[in-house]
Order: sequence, then C-alpha cells, then structure tokens
Amino acid sequence: MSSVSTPVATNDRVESAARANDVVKVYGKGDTQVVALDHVTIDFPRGKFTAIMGPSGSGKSTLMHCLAGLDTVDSGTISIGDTIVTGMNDTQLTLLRRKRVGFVFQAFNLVPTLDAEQNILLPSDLAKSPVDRIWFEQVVDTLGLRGRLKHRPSELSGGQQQRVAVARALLGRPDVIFADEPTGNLDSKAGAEVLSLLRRASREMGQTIIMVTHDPAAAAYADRVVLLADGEIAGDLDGAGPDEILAALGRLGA
Amino acid sequence: MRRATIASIRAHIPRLVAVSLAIILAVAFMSATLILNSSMKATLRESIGQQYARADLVLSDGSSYGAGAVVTQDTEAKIAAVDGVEGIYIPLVSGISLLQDDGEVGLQVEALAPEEFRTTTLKSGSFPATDTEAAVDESTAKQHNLAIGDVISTRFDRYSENTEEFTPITSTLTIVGITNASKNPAAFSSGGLTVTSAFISALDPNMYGTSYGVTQVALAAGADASAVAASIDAVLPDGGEAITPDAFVSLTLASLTGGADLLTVVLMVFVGIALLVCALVIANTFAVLVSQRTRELALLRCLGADARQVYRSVLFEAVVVAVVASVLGVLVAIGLMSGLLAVFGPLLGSAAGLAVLSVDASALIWPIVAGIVVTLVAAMGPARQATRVAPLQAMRPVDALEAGVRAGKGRFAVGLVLVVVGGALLVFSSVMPTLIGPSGNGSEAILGFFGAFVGSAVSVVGVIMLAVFYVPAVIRGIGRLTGRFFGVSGRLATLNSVRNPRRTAATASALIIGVGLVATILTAGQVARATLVNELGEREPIDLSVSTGYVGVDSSVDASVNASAGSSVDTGYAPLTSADVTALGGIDGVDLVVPALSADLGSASLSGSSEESTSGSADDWGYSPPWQAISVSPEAYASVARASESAQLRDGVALVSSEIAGKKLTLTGVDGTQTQFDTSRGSSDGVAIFTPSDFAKISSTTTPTIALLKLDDGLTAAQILQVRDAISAIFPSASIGGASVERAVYEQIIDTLLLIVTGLLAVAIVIALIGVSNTLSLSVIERTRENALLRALGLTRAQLRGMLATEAILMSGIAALIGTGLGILYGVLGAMSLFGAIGGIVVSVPWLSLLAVVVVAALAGLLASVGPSRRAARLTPIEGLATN
Ligand SMILES: Nc1ncnc2c1ncn2[C@@H]1O[C@H](COP(=O)(O)OP(=O)(O)OP(=O)(O)O)[C@@H](O)[C@H]1O
Ligand SMILES: [Mg+2]
Repeated sequence: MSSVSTPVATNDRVESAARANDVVKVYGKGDTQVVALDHVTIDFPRGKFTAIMGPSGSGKSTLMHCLAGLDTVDSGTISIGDTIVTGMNDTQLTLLRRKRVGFVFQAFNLVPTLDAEQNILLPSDLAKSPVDRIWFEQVVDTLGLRGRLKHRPSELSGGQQQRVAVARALLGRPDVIFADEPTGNLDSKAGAEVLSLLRRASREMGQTIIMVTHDPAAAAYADRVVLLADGEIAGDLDGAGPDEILAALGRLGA
Repeated sequence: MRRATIASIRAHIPRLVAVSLAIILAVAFMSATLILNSSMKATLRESIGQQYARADLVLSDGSSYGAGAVVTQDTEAKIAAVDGVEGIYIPLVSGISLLQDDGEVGLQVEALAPEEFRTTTLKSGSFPATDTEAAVDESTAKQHNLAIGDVISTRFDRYSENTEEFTPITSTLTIVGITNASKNPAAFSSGGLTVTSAFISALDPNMYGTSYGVTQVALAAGADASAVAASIDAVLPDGGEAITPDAFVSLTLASLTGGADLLTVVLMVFVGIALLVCALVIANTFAVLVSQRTRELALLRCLGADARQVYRSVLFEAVVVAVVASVLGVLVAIGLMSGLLAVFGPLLGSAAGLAVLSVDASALIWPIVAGIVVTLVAAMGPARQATRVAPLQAMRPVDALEAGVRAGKGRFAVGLVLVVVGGALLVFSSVMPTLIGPSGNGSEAILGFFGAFVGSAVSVVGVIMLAVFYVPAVIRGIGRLTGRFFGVSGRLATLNSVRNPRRTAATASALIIGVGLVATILTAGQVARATLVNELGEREPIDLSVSTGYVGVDSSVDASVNASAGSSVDTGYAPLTSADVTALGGIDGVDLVVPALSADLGSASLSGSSEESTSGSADDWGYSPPWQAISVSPEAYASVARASESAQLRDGVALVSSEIAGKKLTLTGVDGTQTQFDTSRGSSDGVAIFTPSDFAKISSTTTPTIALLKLDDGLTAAQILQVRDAISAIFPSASIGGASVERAVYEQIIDTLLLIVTGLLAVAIVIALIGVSNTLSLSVIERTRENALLRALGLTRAQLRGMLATEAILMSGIAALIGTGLGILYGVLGAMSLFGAIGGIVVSVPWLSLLAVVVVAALAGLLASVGPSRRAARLTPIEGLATN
C-alpha cells in the first residue's frame, strides 16, 4: 500500500465500500496530544448499513471524517470502493465527493437560499452531470417529499430537512453515504422516520451507509454496529437490538 | 453552482445595498467628471460654431490650431468667381479705445456682417446703418453703462508702415442697438461694438485682409462642397484651404480645450482616491459575506464544489453587484449633471463654460469599466479566502467556527519596512529644502516634493498594512477608558470591535484614508498659507503706505506750508498733518497709522553680496538700490510692520528688500560725505527704512509726508480695496502702496482651493462612512443569535442600541483620530518639502477644522449605526435565537 498512484486496492474489490487500514490520527502536539484514532483497521462491506458507536471523544467523528476524505490521516490508508483516498489532492478529493460519497449531517445540511429540489440537485449541479429523472422521482416519492419540493429549508420541519438531505445523498448513488448523528436534532418519531428510510435505502437500493450515533435505538436500525473506545475498535455487533447494544456500550464504560 | 450563486445574491441583496451605494458614488463621481469635460467641450463647440452657423465653407490657413486664412481683396475676387460660390464674407475685426470720463478702455470692434452671414442677433434697437452708428453687446453695455441713444467717443491708433508711427483717429458714434452677447470664448473679448464695414474700412484701409476674422463662404444651391473647396484651395495662397465650419471648429476646439482637460486630470486624482476607498469598502464587505457564508461554502465543498467554483461564485456575485451599481452610478451622474445644467446653465451660461449637456461614450464606458474592475480586484482577496474554507468546516458545530484570521508576521514585517523606508524618505525630502534654504535653484524643491510624494505613498501603504495591528490596540485602549463610563454595553462594544481585527482594521482603513487626506490637505494648506503670508510679510512688511503726493517744489502753497512748519522746502511733497493722521485712523479697517519722514535717494549704490544669493554681485542680478528713504522709530516700526522678529531696526542698519539685504548701502549724506549702512531685510522693493538719527544724516526733511498703515487682521481683498478707496476719497492726490491686497488675494485663493479639495475628498469620506455602516450592519446580522442571547440574559433594548452605537463611534472616531494625526504629519512634511526652499516655514495646524472633521466623522459613524441597531433591537430574544 505504499504507492498512492495505483488507485486499486488489493482484494476486496467487490465487497468493500470503504476501508480503513491501520489508520492513526493524532491531534495536537506534546502535552496536549490526543490520539483520536489508534491503528484502526476496519472494513465496511458494500450494501450494508453500519452504525459507529462509542463514548464521547472516542473518535467516531474523526473516523468518519477520515473515511470521507474530509480529514487527513497521519498513517495508514483509507479507500473508498477500489480507490485509495489517502494522499489525494484537493481536486481529486472534490471529484471523489461529487461521485463517490454522500453526506447527511446533524444540522445545517441544506443551503438556506435554495428550495428543497434545488438542494437535492445541488451535487449534480456542481458536477454538471445529468440528472436521472426517473431515479429522482422515485427517491422523492420514497422519502415523501413530493409536496415539499418548492419549499425553502426554513419552511420545512427538522425531519423534512433531514429527509431532503437523505434524498440528496441517495440521488447520486454514491459508494458510501456518511451520516453524522443524522437524528441528533430530531424527536423520536421524526428520527425513526429518517432511520427507517436509511434502512430501506440500504435494503432495497443496496446503498452503503455509515452512520455515527449516540443513540442505541438509532443504532438498532443498522445491520452492524461498530464500537469505538479511545480511538480503537472495541466491538463489532451484527444485527443487534437496542438492549444488546446498550449492554455492549455499558461494558465500554460509557 | 450558478443557481446557488444567484440564490445567494438574491438572499444577500440587503447586505449588498451599502456596497452598491459605495460603488454608485465612486462611479457617478467619475462619470460626472467626464460628462463635465465633454459638456465643457460641447459648450465651447457650440459657442465657437455659432459664428459660422450660416457659412458652408470657411477658409483656414492650413495650420492645425484653427486660424483663418489671410484673404486679400484680390483673392476675394478670385474666390467669388469660383463656380458654385454664392457669397463670400471677410469679417473685419479690430480693437478700438472707448474714451470715457475716467479713462479709456479697449473694446473689440467688428463690422456688421451682411444679412446672409449674420449670426449676431439684436436684443433691442437696430443694427448700425450709417458709419456714425454702432450697436453694442449686452454685457459690454452693462459693464460700461451704455444705452441706446448714448453718444460715445472712440479713438483708433492707425499704424503707418512708412513712418512707423501711430496716428490717432477719433470718432463719435451713436448707440442704436444692443446685441446679444457673443458666447465665443475664442473672441478677444466677450463682445464689443458692431459698426458698419464702411466705418472700419475708414479707420484703416490697410486692415483689409489682415484682420483675424475667419473668411466665410456660402455656396449656391446644389453646389458640390468638396469640388468648390478644391477650386478655392487652388486660388488661396500659402497652404490655405477651404474646409467645413465643423472641421474648422474642431481645430479651434483642440487648441482651446487644454483647460478642460487639465481640470479633468485634476478631478481624476480625486476620482482615483474615491475608487481606492471604495475598493477597501468592497473588499471588506465581501470578506464579511464570505465569512458569514463559511458553513454554506463548506457544505458546497462537501457536496462536490471545487475550489474554482467557490472562487468564481464569489467573483460572480461581485460582478453582478458591480455591473448593476456601475450602471446606476452612470445614470445618477447623467441625472445629476443634467439637473445641474438645467438649474445653473441659464444662470451661468457661457461664463461657466457650461451650457450644453454632452454625454459621450467615454463618460459611459470608462466609469462602468472602472467600477467593474475595481470591484473585481477588491473581491479577489475575499474570493481566495473563500477557497480556503475546508469541507470539514461543515461538520463543526456553529460556535466553534471562527472566521477571524490572525494577521501574519510577514504582514507586520513588510508594513514596518514600508513605514520606515517611506517615512525616512518623506522626512529627508521635507527637511532637505529647509536645510539648503533659499539659495537653491528650484530643482531641490521639485526633487524634495517628488521625494516627499513617493515617501508618503510608500509609508501610507505600510500604515494601512499595519492597521490590523494598531487599530484594535487603540480601540482596546480607548475602550478601556470608555468602558468605565458606559458600563457593560461599552465593554461589550470594545470587545466586539476588536474580535475580528482584520475586519475592523479594513473598515477603519477606508476612513483613515479619507479623513487622513482631508487632514493632510487642510494642514498643508494652513502651513502654506501661514508660510506665504509670513513670507509676504517679510517682503512687504507695511500693509499700506500713503504718500501725500507730489505737489511741486515751486508751488506757493507748498512753500508756505513748509515754511510755516519750519522745515526744509526741498521735498516737493505735501506735508502729512495730524488731522490727516486722524482721518486715516478713522477709516474702517485701519488699525494703526504711523506718520513717517520720507526722502528720495538720489545717489544710492550697493556693494557686497546679499543674504539670499551666495554667488553674483548686485550688478549680476540687476537689483537696483532703493530710491526712497523712510524714517520711523524702531518702536513705531515694530508696531506697524508685519515682519518677523528678525527684522529689527537699529542705528547703522537700513531695512531693505530681501533681494538686496546683506549688501552695503552707500548714500550721500546731507553734508555731502558718503555714508555706508549695513542692510537687513524688512522693507519692500525700492524702499529703505532708517532710524530717525540715521535718516537725519541723509536728509534734512523734518515734516512727515508719508503715513504707514497697519490694517485689521483678516480683511478680505475686497475690504482692503474699500480701505484704499476711502483713502483716495480723502486724499485724491495720494499715492498708495503696499501688498496687503495681494496678501488677502493669496489667502483667498488658498482658502478657496482648500474648500474645493476638501469638498472633492468628501466623496471619499462619504464612501468610507458607508463602509462603517456596512460593516456594522453585517456584523449585527452575523451576531443576531448572540445579541438575542444577550437580550435573553437581561441586556435591555437601550443597552443593546448603546452597545452598537458605541461600537460605531469607537470605530469611526478612532479612525478619524488616527487619520487626522497622520494627516497633520503628512501635511506639515509635505508643505515643508514644497515651501521649505522659500524659507521661514511656519508650522501651523488648523486645530478647529480638524476637530470638526473628527467630530463629524464620529457623528456620521453614530448615524451609520442607527439603522443596524434599530434592526437588532427590534428582534425579540426568541426570534433572534430561532434564526441560524
Ligand atoms: N480539531 C481537533 N483538534 C484537537 N483535538 C481534536 C480535534 N477534533 C477532535 N479532537 C479530539 O480527538 C478525540 C476524538 O474526537 P471525536 O470528535 O472524533 O470524538 P467523537 O467520538 O466524535 O465524540 P462525540 O461523541 O462527543 O462527538 C477527542 O479527544 C477530541 O478532543
Ligand atoms: Mg462526534
């Protein structure tokens, strides 16, 4: 994995949507030095909905930022699909974000001056790529946004705003959708709506989703739960329910 | 991206209003200046062209500056014979003296053109029909009090080549008509007499074909102008040619419009300053907009926008604003100029050289180009800043976002070097002329001024670069003081003002430049004024001197008066009585009257070298020795003269003009012996002032015949002329000397110039103040949540408003103070570089005017805060916290 110029990862060409290989991320220097990611190796298979959990400060956001190419790593490599992200320049990263990854944030997902439809189409607008109208209609209907397309973000509820963000992420059919606390600002009903949408996207459309969350109930919507503690992988649960996840978290001391 | 950009512009329109206003102002200023230029030219074109309005061709001498060809009677006949020529008219124009009771005045006299070429129009009466009649134009009539029916006497001095002598020819004319004043600025005067051509021909038969009038030709109907012109060219001597009146007017115009162009160049300097200040405001506005959009830009980057797209989106926004504002600016200028012409055009007419509005393409295109270029260049920095927004910033919580970029060490180093190098050059260039003194040949002054100019420019760039370091520091310092008086809102205001040093510094810089320039001009003007007035005081220390007048040595009256006064009778001047002194002292505006003895100096001679010139003797320079001696006591001299302390009258020293000061003055005494005096500056040209005991050695006169007057301070030239008139009324035969009128005129010229320059710079200051308001309202928008939080925590509405008002006053007041401080420095040094060589720099600072500038700027800043703070205070805490 020393050569950056060969953008082809070795074996998991088919299965892996995103992968961290022996990643170390250190913030600060000297006394204030924090090892946010400590030799993390993890693989996110294609088509799966994975939740990342762990105590506050355990490195969840950091891992996600590194996976998405938003932040650099100090050692190790990150790949999205069969492309190695580590070492890419700004232009390459921009192209990667256009075509290969989607984002859903906790808040401020939408450009306030654009209406819902314009927000959903923004990535293809930026990439100047043609829009698959049939897919667009399908996503809009699936997310129940039909009647809201001409609304500005300020005219939408928090749940509707998150659904617009999900629609935007889905439209580009990226390799991975990264979601950082997508339901953190929502009440449980709106949160449940968004989470079941994400699960449907993964089950019915084969969309790979990596979601950071604090909420075991939210994590229970995922196919797989990865646990982080002090920058290290501390557990990996498959198809766990909320109680099971809570128990696993409890063992981490969170 | 285009869509996101356009949406962003639409959403930001309120935030873009102020910056658009700044651009509109600067562009309108530039456009108005260009329109002024083209309108002046158009007015000129119209008024020059008016006289050829009825001609088809005019005869040019072929030169490039628009002069008429000389057409002799012979040539005239040949031209008249050319096929297609219907008529030819050679205007006869000459000068004549109008003889009036109180002297004579020169007038232009012109022969009445034949009907078909006539452009002169009658206002009343009729045109002259016989050679004893004349019409006079309106303004000349008013000037010399002429009306229809008046009979005037004129004199023409006919020159004879043979005898090389002038023969006066006097005539009497009856005014029969008043004509409308000519608008032609190329004419010798604004108008004059219109007479029959027979009258002019009679004055001087040789005048034919030598007058300056431009020969005009009318064509027969259907004639081909260019063919006729070619035929005429063939008969015209010496390269003369027949051209269309339009082409001829263009030639004349080109030779006349240097003035309009010069005015435009000068105005363009101020336009440049306004654009520069505008650029600062634009750069600042876009920097604020970018930092407010950080999260949005980061989101766009996450969604796949590349750096170039972000860069272009900021520039696109700038272009849209620039185009809209520049077009509006040009429209404003057109509206303004046409309004001005509509109101003042009829009032001023041709006197102001402005009667026709002319908007040529350059007045439309260049300002718009300038507006767009300036905006784009100014927005480039913020656009680059926008590309540095990392996608990761979209993921951070709101409050962690810090747009404030810390100013680098590099900036500090470069700024410091510029200030030190530029400052050193400025100080050196300013002090050098003073050190070298008046002995220099003038090139030092030019070099000094050039050096000072470069030094100022370099150091000002440094000063502005360093603003980011010292402006917040000064605000913090002064804020600490005001915090004591204004409590918590004052403290918060101080913290707010310095939380984004770069933004505060940029806003302040715009104002520092504007106010600084005004302060520089005011100070330099004041120093120049004081120095020139002081120098005039040295050269012409006596405001007015009144000589009683020569009445003749042999006059019996004179002799008897002199005899009764018991003095020698050789002066020939009427004595100045104590009643005269009282009468002079009673005139309004006269402060002090000192009677003095006076004598003519017959055989004075100079030797040695003067103080001013280190080389050359008196003869080399051609300075003549004084011809008049005046005697006053040292005390009286000190009280009446405006000379500085250095001019001290004492025995053995004669005070003379500065050109010959330092030489030895040798005079023949009353006893016939030669007496030599040292000289020192303290009198005007031709006059030497002595102590009474020295005077007694050279003249036996004991009767005062001259009064030295000191006038009240601060009289205008007009008031001084009134004083002179009053003196003439009391002493009709008196001769009055002194340079007080000159001094007052100088003062008035400098004051007027200062007023104009300050007015022109005001445009830049207004733009800078728009910038202050803009920065404030943008930061208020940005801090909506924060202000709402403060309100929720118990800050009252009034306290919030107070906080924002304090912020505005702090920013504008301190910027004005810094600008004024710099302006005083630059003004004094600049004036020293210019006037140092004259000597005797008088450093004088117009404190009152400067204080007014600072107060006005601070108040304007306060005014600028009214809108934003009302908007902020209107929002309830809940509404404020809900926005994001
Ligand atoms: N920009 C930064 N500079 C310095 N340290 C950082 C930075 N970002 C994160 N850290 C540190 O890295 C560690 C991991 O942070 P991270 O944000 O990944 O935690 P997290 O698991 O997302 O926590 P939370 O659940 O609270 O969001 C923390 O100790 C944090 O203090
Ligand atoms: Mg986190």
